[in-house]
Amino acid sequence: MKIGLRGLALPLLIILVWWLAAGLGIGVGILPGPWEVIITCRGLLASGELQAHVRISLLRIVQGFLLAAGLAVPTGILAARFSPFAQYVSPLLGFLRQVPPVAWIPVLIMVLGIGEATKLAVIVYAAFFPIFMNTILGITQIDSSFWEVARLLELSPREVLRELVLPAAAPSLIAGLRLGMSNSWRALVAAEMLAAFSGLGYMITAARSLVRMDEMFIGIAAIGLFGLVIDWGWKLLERRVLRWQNRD
Amino acid sequence: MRDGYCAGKTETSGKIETSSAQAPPMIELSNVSKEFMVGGKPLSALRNLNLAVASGEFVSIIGQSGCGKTTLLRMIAGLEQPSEGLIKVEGKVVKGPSRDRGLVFQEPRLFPWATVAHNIKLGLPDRGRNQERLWALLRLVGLEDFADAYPRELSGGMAQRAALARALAGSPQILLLDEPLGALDAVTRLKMQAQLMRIWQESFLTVAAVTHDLDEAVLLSTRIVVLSPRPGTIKGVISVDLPYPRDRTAGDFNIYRQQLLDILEQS
Repeated sequence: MKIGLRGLALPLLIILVWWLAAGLGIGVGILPGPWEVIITCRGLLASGELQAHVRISLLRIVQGFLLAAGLAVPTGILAARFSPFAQYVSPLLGFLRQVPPVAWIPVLIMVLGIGEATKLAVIVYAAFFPIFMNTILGITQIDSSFWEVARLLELSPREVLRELVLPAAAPSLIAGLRLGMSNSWRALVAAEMLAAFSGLGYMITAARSLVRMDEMFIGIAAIGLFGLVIDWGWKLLERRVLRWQNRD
Repeated sequence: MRDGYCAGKTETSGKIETSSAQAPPMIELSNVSKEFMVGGKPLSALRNLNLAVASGEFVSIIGQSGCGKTTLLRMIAGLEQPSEGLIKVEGKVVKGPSRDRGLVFQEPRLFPWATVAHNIKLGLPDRGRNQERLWALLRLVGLEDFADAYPRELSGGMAQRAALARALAGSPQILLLDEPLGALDAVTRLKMQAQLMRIWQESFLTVAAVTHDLDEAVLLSTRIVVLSPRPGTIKGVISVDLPYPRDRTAGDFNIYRQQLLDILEQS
């Protein structure tokens, strides 16, 4: 969780090189300097445009991710615990898993139009598989000796879920959720570039048609920063939930 | 008082074999055999076991490694089914595990994500809504200061005590012990033996314990069952008619130990 001074060295170096390059007049007319970008950013913040894009992107992510987790965790548990269910769904899901979410965007635009449904579908699709696969992995890796304890203690199915399955699978489950969220973040940006009039992905595409490199940079920086912050959030949650295995 | 109580126990166990007609024995094995498939071939682990254990007995099962002692205990617990024959508890055929038969494994098998108190709660039929019972169990095994500790924070002996408390939490009639003291150091082992003795003497538990340790068997048991190497068959059953608490250095103690060694070496 420590960001550490060392981690700041490279970003600062890049900014410094960028600054120098701009000062030396390298890439004039194509590459905007840091100062230019900062001024544009202030403008976008003052007009509320940037906040609006961020807000709508985050809203889509939260909705899509919650929907994906709500589908993937129960199906993962079912697939891990009941082999007939797994036998029905595995081949189809195995096939779908190989198709990148972006490939579906043209199809979804045809079927659902370029409304929110398309974006939501892409996010759900992108987040589903890592969550689903990691749920299964986490449960199938539970030591058989623990299942015997559950039988000896006569735990009810609900207790088995709460006391054994979820905590034992938690490390893998959280890894899956974290991966699912970062996948959905990527898919969202792609979807917004192809089928949206708002959001950070749209902001970058729109900036391209206006040849505004500075706005593109701001869009990219915002995507990276929010992705990073979300991932830190996951790490924090992981620490809290997996306190029992902390070895400090 | 204590001695008399337990000497009485021993006598009852002696009588039960001849007069088991009135009440069914606590544990009854009839013609129990167990086969496993190993590398595609059937392997006979236990063959034709017959044994009746009366209520309140402390029976130790000894024998060489791989003679099926653990399998026998797992079958009584209901985790496995015999290939042939029947296992009955109080006259009823064992079909699966029950809180009525507490099992302590060789390793503690505590849930690592749950505290000691929570692990024990899971053994309680009311899941610890009655805090008094939980604390009574924690005190019984001397872990009241470690209620909120996670299993990784416990020593081996403490973890086994927590596992014992969890097994006792269901108020079982039968306590099954699979070498739970095997991995402990000598001093901890002695303490745990004494603790086990106390718990057994203060309750109406029937205990079946697998052990490698002949001294432990003679020290604790009313009867000792000796199994032969694979396939495990009952080689001999010894009733230990010594008053409790027993003295390891007494002459009689050594006679029993020698008797066990003789049977083990014959097989």
